[in-house]
Amino acid sequence: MISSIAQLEEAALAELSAAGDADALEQWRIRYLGTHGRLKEAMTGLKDVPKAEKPAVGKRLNEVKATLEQAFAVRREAQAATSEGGPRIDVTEPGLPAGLGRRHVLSRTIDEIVEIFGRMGFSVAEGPEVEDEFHNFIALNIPPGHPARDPADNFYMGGTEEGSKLLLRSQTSTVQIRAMEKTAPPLKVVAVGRVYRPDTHDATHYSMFHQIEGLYVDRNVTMVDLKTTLFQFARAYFGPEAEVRMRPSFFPFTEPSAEVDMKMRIKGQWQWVELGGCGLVDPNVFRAVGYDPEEWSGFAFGLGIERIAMRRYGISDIRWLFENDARFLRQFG
Amino acid sequence: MKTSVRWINDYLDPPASADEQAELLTRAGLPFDGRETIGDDIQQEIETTSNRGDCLCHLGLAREVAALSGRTLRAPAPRNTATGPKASGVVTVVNERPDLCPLYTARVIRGVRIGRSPDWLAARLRAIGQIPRNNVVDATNFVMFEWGQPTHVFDLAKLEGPAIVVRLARAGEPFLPIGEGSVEITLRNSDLVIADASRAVAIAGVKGGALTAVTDRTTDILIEAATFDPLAVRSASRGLRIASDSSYRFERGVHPAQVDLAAERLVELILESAGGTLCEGSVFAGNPIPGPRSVSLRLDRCRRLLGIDLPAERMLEWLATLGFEPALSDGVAACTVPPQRLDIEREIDLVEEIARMAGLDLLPVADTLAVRLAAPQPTVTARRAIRDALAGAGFVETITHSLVAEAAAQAFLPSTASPLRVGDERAGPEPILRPSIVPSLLRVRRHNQDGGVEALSLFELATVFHVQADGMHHEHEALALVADLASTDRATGGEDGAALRALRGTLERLVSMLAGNDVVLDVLPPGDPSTAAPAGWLDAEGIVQVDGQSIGRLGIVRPAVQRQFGLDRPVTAAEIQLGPLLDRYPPETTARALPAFPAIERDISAIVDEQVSWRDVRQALLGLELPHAEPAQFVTVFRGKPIPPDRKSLTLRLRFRAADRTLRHEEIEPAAAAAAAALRSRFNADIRG
Repeated sequence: MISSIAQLEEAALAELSAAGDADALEQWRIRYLGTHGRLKEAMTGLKDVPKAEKPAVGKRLNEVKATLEQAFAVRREAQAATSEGGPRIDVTEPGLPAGLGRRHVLSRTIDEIVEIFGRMGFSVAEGPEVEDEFHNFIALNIPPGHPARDPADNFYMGGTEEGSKLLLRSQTSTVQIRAMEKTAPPLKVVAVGRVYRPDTHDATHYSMFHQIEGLYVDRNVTMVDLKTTLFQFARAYFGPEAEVRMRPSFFPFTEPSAEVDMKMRIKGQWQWVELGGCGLVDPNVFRAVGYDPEEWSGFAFGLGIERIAMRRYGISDIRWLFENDARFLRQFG
Repeated sequence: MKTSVRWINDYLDPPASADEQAELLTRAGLPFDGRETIGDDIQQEIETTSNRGDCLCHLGLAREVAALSGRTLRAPAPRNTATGPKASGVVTVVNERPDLCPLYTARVIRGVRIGRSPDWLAARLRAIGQIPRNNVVDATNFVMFEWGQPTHVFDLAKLEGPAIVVRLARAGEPFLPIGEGSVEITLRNSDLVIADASRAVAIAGVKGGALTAVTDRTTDILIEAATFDPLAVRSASRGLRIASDSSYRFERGVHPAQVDLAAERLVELILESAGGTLCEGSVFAGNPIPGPRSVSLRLDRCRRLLGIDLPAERMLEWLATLGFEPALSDGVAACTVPPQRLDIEREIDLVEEIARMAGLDLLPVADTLAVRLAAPQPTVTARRAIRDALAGAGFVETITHSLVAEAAAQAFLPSTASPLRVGDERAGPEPILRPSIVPSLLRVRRHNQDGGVEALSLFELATVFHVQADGMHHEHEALALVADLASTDRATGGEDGAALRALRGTLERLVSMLAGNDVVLDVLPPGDPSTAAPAGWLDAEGIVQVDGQSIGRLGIVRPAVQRQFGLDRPVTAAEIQLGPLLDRYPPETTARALPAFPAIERDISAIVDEQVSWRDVRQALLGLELPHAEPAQFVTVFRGKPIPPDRKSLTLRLRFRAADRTLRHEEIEPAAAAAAAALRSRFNADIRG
């Protein structure tokens, strides 16, 4: 009896491994484990086994039953996995475009830069784009008759308002004045936004562009503080090898004044790029807003956003930034 | 300015190489900007800033190189012998406007022979790109590029009088400038001129006249050396559209102290190359030459501003090198300003001189920075959140010009406003500061259509402008969205409705993000007493309100406007004012527990007239105050068979929930029935389902 049980087990396992599909598996189950299957048949035969052998044969039959049931479960699971397999899909098909939206490369650049100056304790100050002559010129130490006020270099509105001509601001320095008018020192702000100059549009000129302006006024602010701030910015934005260079220059609203160059990484090479101007706030500017230049000192700087983005991303024509072709804008992240 | 390396070296001992000149001048704040070999000389382009008129000449640049490198400066010291009669007996000079012409000097040479310039002088001029003409004209040019002092030579025989009168032009006075092919111009009565006894013979500091110019037959000459008010020169130059090397220099300021030196140098060069007899003395008219100015520098203040501890001796040495003759007393250096340094007026100007000499590249930078943390700035964070959210929702951000064409602006103006206009022809065909961002986005959509870009959604956050009814200009920050309509089938309104709902959903998301989930964005038809008038460029227009305040509008851009912008397909558009939303950011959020018990839902389809709005239905159901009911939810709307025309089937969902137990269906039946009844009675609805 024991040996015939062994034969049964052997045959069953052999047939099970031969069963190739779900139907064959089901046939096997009926044949061996079914209500009228061969295992049941063997169990029924147990009553004819001599009493002394009964426990051993019974035990053996139970073992075989467990073995076959487990083997069947494993086979059925494997079979199910191959036959279900999910819908037919070619995984090499391209992805459907997701997230077609984009931030404009300039607004993203602005946010990145503002964020770094924010870490250095600068708040964001704001001011209007249509300005009066006091904020765009007079308070910035640009008196009547100064060449910077020439109509050829500014977008003046027709007519006047409250005795002043209006114009589109030609620099974000106007916001310095507005910030100082509103706030007593100390003061640490950046202003960012659109400025306008009537340039003929070409690859490097556009009559509207963006500047970020920084102003820090406190007791004992120095040229060294200015250079350190610009240096820390350059390192934070362009990386640990970035450098800052200052060359003497002239602006009506700062003195001493300097041009700012930063060494930035362009196509793997570190290169010097002219990014803007800076200097200590001219005492006349402090007087215009009622700060005492003997008590307070400060620095100011202005950087060109387009210039930074264009050099950083190899944008060779400024007009691309304002055509807003989605194919261009989607190149950036 | 174009410079000659050899020319600068004419005044330097020892000479400096081209590289050295370029580097030193750049360090001085006069950046090198390229070079070119000309003959045996090198031409270098050196940029100058508008405050350094004294550096618009070779002597001035040599002075800077000398100061920065410890070289000796050798300036020319002309000595001339006059053998003719007194100049004052030959010509009279009347200066009617010493305010605009602080100093006018005239010298006379008789019997010159016009010819070629000596080779050395011609070579210097060629090296800076000038074309030599004749010995007299070349000498005036040479002196201008040597001293920065423009001069002018008249043919004495052609001056009526002979007299010189410095005066304002008479209105309409004619003038023929020097120059090939020049045409007669008409002067304005604000233009300062040099005249002879009867007519204008030069525009002061700008241009000489053709009728009194030196020619090959000229024998007697009058040499003008003068200073003019920078504003007067600029005004004439800009107004008459004549710019010259002379006007460029006078606009930046020329000091009277050097007038005689430069004039004597010119006389010397002319006598050398053209011969002739110099009349004795000069005829001058104007104000006394101002004495030297003094400015004091507190050495400690200088150290405090620069942030470096410079020894007093170094600072004094630098000031001396620059010609300031400093005298130290009590930590204060009293300085005498060299006359040509018109830019030095205040202590801070001397601080800048010290900074230049110390070298800005030598300023140290610190490894760390002391920081006072700034207070949070919700509006800044909010703008960033808006941009990020919209980009995440599939919108492409644009940045477009604030100036637009008249035609693009007109339709988008608020009803009581007029456009804000740039008063200048250079604004060209786009002189209007845009009253709305939408036309710019429509243009961008058109540009992308030309590029074959499909399924595009755009947004921009920018300032918009107009002039109010009271004449004052106004600007505010706005957000505009333009999105393609998925379908062009407008007959059913179904797709259009879905597109508008998508746009509204985007706005709702922004409002909840900025103002919180409890703030309700509402969209109402225009023309209602509580809303604005229709805009005229939108179909299916809705006025966007937040807490009862109108902040903008949304709709489908009208076919006529769509055609005006050349768009093949319809687009939805919205524009809202950002200010009211930014003010609310960040919203206060308090978390609530989720409901503990399930809800029971009942869908009702009500066939109602087209005029019945979802908002009316929703409000009516809210007004019933049904027990356990949440606000009704919109499910869908259906138009077409079997619904009669002018009617629509509106499906809505009622949801009932109790906070403390699971409701039984029988409990909510009366409320559902009451809702259906109300729809029938208020809106003449047929209820299905």
